[in-house]
Amino acid sequence: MTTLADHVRALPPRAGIGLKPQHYALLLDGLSDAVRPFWVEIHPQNYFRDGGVSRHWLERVADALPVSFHSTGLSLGSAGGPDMAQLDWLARLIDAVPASSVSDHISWSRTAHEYFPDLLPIPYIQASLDQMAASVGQVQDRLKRRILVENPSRMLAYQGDSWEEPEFIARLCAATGCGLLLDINNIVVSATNIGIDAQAYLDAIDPVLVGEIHLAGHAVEQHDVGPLAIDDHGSAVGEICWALYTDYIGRAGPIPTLIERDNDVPAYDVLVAEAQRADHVLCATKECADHVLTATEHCLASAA
Amino acid sequence: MPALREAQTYVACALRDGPMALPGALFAGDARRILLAMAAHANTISHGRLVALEDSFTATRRALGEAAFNQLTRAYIEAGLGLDGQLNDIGHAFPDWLEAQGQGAALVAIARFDLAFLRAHHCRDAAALTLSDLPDDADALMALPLARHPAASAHALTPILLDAIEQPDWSGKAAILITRPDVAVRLFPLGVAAHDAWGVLAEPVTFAELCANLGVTHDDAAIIPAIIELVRAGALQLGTQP
Repeated sequence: MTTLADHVRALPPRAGIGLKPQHYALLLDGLSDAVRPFWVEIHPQNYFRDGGVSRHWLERVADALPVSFHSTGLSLGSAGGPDMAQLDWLARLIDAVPASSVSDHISWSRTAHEYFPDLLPIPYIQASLDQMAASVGQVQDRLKRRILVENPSRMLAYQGDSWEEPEFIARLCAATGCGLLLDINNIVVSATNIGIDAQAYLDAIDPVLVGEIHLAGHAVEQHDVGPLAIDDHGSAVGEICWALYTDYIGRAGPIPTLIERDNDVPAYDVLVAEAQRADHVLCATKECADHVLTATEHCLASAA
Repeated sequence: MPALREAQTYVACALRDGPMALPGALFAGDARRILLAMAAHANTISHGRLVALEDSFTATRRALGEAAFNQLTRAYIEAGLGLDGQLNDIGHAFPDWLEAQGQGAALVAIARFDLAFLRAHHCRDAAALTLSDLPDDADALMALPLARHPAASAHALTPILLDAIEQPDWSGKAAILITRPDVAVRLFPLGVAAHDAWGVLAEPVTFAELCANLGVTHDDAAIIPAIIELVRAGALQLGTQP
């Protein structure tokens, strides 16, 4: 049985994994194992139902571990505003199942008449900032909590951007009070595709804004015009990503970190072992035991 | 840089109709890389939709074969159906669309079976009637209101459906029942009388009304076992009292 306190508990600054249906039982059976995830993440869209088998499992998992709700369908960057049907579903799900963290993306996925199952880029201009801020505000008001927004993986950059991505994110966080879900793999993908400097990007991200980190693998296609990185979450975390992560955590202190895998999902033990590698990085920081970003310091500390 | 809404309209058109819809001044960088990136986005979107349909219509895919199934699902997407909502509901119009395309009734029935299976999986939870819920008192039993459980559905058996769900032992049966009385979706073969009972239960009835209806076409000895068959399968719930 969940308690009221469960509804406000934050993600621990340890490593988690994405919750997959094939791992439901293994996860619950292994909760007392020494090597285990400390929290899990779901795509809430997979649970937008009034009941059913998936919801049954999610409720059991949420009784045992903190759950991060990582939405993929609010379309915060759409010119027409967020997808209100998805927002209603998300609110209903959060009412039923405690969410330790709620996030979506700096991207758009729908027009008035069509949903695109992808995370499409937005230009970094004042109009986008105003629109994103309005959408994030709408979501936070509806959910009565602050959310995290994830930096995108990009294959395209718009002409005439007013800001670099970290500056856009900082302005968005300042305007709305939202936090950042820092996806380091996305930075590596964007570095390959549009030539950003991954290290400079991370140097520009204030750790106080970061509520969660994502680590993942990606595919690289070779073309005449150079390599194209595809953010497919279909392989183990790459070494460049690990190096950037280790460096960032060394500077920022421990931050809840997810091993994100959505395609070619490996055996549960393999996924947990990868999470353990992230956990070693987190626990190597001298602040690990003290949770360097305490409840009052963190960007998500107070209600929106 | 066009206005935000205009820019997104250009990108949406390009994803649907090809890169000719993209204005040259929208994205930065080499034109060939921009085309490559747009193609990658279009592939991601198409792949996501096709995989969602594959996952939703496993028996239909098995019955048709991969090539024919892929051809039909691509045509379904190109017709613009199911594209306005979530991926996990993308196939809601697929059986009706197959029927409108003149696909055979047997294939349409398999697609409806797949959709019903998916809906049972995601259906709201509801208490199924069990044998222990049936009153011992005969009068109370006859007055018991019965209704279909919200996750349950019955599907007339055809040879092609039997092959598609890989249950050859059920070849003598009238129908397949899908139920989810608890956490798992289950399949049961239904005899003729139980299938007819299911038909009567299209509208809530009392136990007595159900027996009377079945008595028109079935021997008395077959009636109670047919109802018990549905109850054991978790296909019924208590109806509302009149």
